Amino acid sequence: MNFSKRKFIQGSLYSGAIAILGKATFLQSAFAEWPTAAFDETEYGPALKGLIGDTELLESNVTIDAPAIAENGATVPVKVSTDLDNVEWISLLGDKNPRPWISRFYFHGKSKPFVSTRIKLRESSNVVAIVKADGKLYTGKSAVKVTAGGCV
Amino acid sequence: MADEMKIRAKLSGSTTTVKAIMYHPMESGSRKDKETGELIPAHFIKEVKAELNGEIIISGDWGTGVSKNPYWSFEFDGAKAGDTVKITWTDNLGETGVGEAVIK
Repeated sequence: MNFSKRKFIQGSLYSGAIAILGKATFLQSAFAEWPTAAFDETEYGPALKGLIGDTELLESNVTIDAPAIAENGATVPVKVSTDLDNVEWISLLGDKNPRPWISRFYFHGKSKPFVSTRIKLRESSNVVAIVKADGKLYTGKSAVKVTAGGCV
Repeated sequence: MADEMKIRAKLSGSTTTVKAIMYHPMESGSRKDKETGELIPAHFIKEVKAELNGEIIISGDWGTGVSKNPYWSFEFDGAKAGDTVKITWTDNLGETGVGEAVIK
C-alpha cells in the first residue's frame, strides 16, 4: 500500500462529513418533513404559523385560479402559479377548514412552479397559497363561495 | 395495479404536462358512518412524488383537505417523447400506489 494510514483516515472522515452535510441539505431543501405542526391545527392562524413560523409574508407574485362560486365544496379545482424563480415549494390552505393546511408541493429539476389540484372546502372561505422562493415567502388568496360544503 | 391511478403525459413544445387521478378515499377521520354513527377512520394520501426517468421532479405532502380521488396536474421542461413519468403515493396506513405514463 502506498498511502499512509493517517491520510486514509483523514480522507474517510472528510467524505463522511460531506455525506452527512449532503444528506442534511437534501432533507431540508428537497424533502422538508411532513408538516405535522400545520396539519394538527384546527384554526387558520396557528396552522399557518405551524407551516411558516413567524416569517414575513410578501403579498405579491402568486396567482390563484379558483372558482368564485363552487357548487360542491368536496371538490374545488385550484391552480396556483407564480412568476418567481427558484421556487422551492407551494403550499395551500383553506382558512375556514377544520384542518386549514391542505397540501404542499416541492419543485425539483426542471419542473415549473405550477400546480393544479382539487381541494375540499367546508364553507365559503379564502384559498390561500404560500410560495417559498429564494428563501422568501410570498402569498396570494382567492375567495370561494361554497354552496354545498365538502365533508372535510 | 391498473385501478390505482389514471395518468397521462403530453409534450407540447418544450413543456410536458402530466395529469393524474389517483383512486383513494381521502377520508379525513371526522366523517361519521351514516348507518352506525361511528367515525370513519382517517385514510388519506400523505406523500406523493413524481419522477422523470427515475429522477424526482415534483413531490408533495398532502393532508385531509385534498379531495377524494385526487387530481394532480403539473408541468416540466427537459423531457422528450418516449420518456417515462412515474407517480408514487403513500398513505397514512402505509399503503402505496403507482402509475406510469410514457410521454406522447
